Amino acid sequence: MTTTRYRIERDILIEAPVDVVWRTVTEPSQITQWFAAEVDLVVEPGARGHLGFGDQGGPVLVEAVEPPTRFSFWWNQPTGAELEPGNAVLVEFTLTAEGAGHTRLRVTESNLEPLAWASADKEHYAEEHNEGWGHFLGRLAQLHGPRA
Amino acid sequence: MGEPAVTTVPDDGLWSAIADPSRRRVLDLIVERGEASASWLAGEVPFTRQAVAKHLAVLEEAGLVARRKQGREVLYQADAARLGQATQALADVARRWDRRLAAIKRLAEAAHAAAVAQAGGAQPAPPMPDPAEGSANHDHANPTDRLAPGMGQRPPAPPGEGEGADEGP
Repeated sequence: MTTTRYRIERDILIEAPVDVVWRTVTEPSQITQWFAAEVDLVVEPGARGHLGFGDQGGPVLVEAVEPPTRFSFWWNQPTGAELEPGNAVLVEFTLTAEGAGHTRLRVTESNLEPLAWASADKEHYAEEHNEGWGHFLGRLAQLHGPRA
Repeated sequence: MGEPAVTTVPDDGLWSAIADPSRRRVLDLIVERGEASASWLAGEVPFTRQAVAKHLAVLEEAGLVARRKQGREVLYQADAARLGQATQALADVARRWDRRLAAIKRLAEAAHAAAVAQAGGAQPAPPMPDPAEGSANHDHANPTDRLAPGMGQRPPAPPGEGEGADEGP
């Protein structure tokens, strides 16, 4: 119920077969091209690794590896505790064959409260909103309404 | 470093305040109603008034709700600014994933085109210009250099390092 509020889901259609997309998503030498600058990761369930983003970075814990359709990992444990399933943010990739040799790549990031609220304490944010958050924005509108 | 990628998580009870589903339910109800008393809330949830009072105290301490007195009643309001900031932070997370997905698309399509060209000896399709990318360089993904607002405030990665990588979660 309320947990869905802190989840994002995005997808994209890629003109390449699922196995090619799978390699792009999961091979460390590829991950450095689209994600983290430093990737220390074994793509196996339960494996612990590290993603580095310049002066930031942190541990990851691989959750599911089901080639070539599903890959997920935990990251961003908010309190500095050891990463465990459920105590951090979960990233899940789902690959689905679509049409002639195309792939629908979907990513969800859930359990996002720590990111949302930690970032809320930072000062600068873009003005535009994401359409996918209509539900939450609607609630905010309700919230602002009585005050206006 | 073993530091979490989000380095600004304050140890102020915010996380534990909203990590509890019952407490989120209380916060949701306050948001939906605009303002609510503890006794009204207690009538809406399947737990005791004492539990509601405890949840409210935690939410208040975390800055998520504020209270005011009206006659004998104490009314709780959610902090709109803080909720709005959280919403924007989530939109920001979504935009980062959009950029990453676009980079994956470029990489996978380039790899596929190369494999097809090699296997078939057929005429390789020219790299597909990605309309979203304009005149971007297709040889490698480098999502950091034309990012959404906010990203520019981070110091650029040192040259040679972090090419194609982004700024973190």
